Amino acid sequence: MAAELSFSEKVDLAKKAAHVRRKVVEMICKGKGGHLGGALSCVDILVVLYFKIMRVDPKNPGWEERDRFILSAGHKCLALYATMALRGYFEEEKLLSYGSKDCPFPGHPDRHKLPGIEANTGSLGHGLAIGGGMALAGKIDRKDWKVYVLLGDGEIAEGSCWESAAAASHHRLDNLIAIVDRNKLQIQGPTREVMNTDPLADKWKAFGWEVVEIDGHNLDDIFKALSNIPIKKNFPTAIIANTVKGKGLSFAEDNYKFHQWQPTPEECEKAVTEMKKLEEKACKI
Amino acid sequence: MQDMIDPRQVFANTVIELAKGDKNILAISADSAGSARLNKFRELFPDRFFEFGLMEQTVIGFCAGLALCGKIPFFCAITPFITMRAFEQIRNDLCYTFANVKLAGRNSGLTNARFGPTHHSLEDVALMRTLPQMVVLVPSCPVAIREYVREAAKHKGPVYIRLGSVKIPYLYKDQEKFEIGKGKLLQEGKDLVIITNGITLWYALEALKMLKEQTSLKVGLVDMPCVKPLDEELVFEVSRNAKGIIVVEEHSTIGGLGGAVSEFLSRENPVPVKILGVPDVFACAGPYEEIMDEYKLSPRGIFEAVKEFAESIKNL
Repeated sequence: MAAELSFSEKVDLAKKAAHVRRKVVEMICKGKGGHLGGALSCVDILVVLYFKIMRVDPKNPGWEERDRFILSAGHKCLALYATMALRGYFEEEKLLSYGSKDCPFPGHPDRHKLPGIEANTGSLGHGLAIGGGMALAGKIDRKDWKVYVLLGDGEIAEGSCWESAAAASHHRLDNLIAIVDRNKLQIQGPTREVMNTDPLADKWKAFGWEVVEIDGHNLDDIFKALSNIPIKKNFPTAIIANTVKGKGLSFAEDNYKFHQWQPTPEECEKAVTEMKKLEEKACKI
Repeated sequence: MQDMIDPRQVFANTVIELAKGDKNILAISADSAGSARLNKFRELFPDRFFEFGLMEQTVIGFCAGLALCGKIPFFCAITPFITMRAFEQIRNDLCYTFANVKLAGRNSGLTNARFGPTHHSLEDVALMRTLPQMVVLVPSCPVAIREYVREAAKHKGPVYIRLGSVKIPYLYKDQEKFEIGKGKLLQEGKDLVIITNGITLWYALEALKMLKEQTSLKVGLVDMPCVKPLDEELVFEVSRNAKGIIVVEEHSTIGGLGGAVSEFLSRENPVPVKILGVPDVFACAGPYEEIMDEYKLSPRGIFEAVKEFAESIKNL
């Protein structure tokens, strides 16, 4: 029987996602800038992963039997930091040190600074190979943990992503899951115009992956896709998650100009108010 | 005296020896197992040998992931491809990550001389040396290669070992020990001191014989197989006791061992330094010995360069 979320689980996850979105906006306002659009587009995926799918122990982030998560599109890290805080890796108040010197939340993840971060990403096109190496190590040691790698759809223009895709299927890494946060926008504009990587599902299939395409904001869809892995023994899984860049913040939604955002104080006030309302609404369901 | 041997064979034999005692040691290939002499490893440890084909940058990422899960990957490939094509992955995935991965560049320097500049590596030491956390080793002799591969396995963090493909003689006794961060003063000399590593140690020893026979110059010799961390104490010591330093290396004159020595001496004890290497050009293609001689990196070339340098600084 396919895994399903109960109504109360869905409500709980929706609240968590709204909370994470608010924290992302608050961090950017506090730190006077940051990558907004991609952080907001991947929040629902991260919340489902960290609260329903991944076997992790926030109090023992180096636990050997844990599932691994790599944010290959490292610039989306504000969503990861806020999700990790909510999951209990560290106190949430610390998030607001974002932007200060030597805080554990640099603009791209640093495993030396924040326990629970698995890889130092930021330069795009690195995460799938690192995750592939981890998945291979898991296979060598006959471990049952999985490796989840979140990529941006602009990122996968990097050829190294496709080398990694070929290597993962060649080595039969069915414990490796690539999630493409397909928000269809990158810094310069629509991904299809900047560098078209369509047909995306066909490309992953051609590289020997099992592919499932979902609505990346539908909690049921995300949960079902992530609960059914591997789809086929010996084959890695690609989940193409269709999302909206800037999801949740009205004036940033589907607008590439909010890839990176340096807000004015007025914009901050408006954004934080809006995100608080969004969270309140989620809590009233 | 033992026969001359291919440095890649020494590397592979040592990795096999280490793998027998440590199940976490892996051998990784980018369509390179035969040339890296790792086929024997594959036969002995089929579950610890992984072939990736031609995707060096991605192999580095996989190595990082393996290392983050406790494995110790040894990845050997042709030097320009492993160091230059994959440079950013080495920087971020290995060095910035502190990943316990051992890289071996094979057919380094001009040992692929006939294949032309795409297959030469005259910049690799300079590139690897700029990276925080990276240890850079250029061993000269089979004993040094064996000992440094063992040291690399013990060291926690990324290591780059530069290997040629021309057969080399045994210059040290079998029981000689080598340490990361340490050079060896092989001969003292009050006029000049040669600091070298890799195959040019062998050629420098030959040049010293000619200098002794044909000149009255007192020329010292330092083997500096560990370029990073540099044995600054030894460089300082020899620079205080000689009129000048001549660095000899099968590398560009920009940024290699000569760069490391010059950067240190310009700061701590400015003395005349000459760097004998390949100038700022893409080297010509042809037989190895002829190309080395073209850049004065043969015994005869080193002999001539030392004499010229001694003459140029004698009145300083």
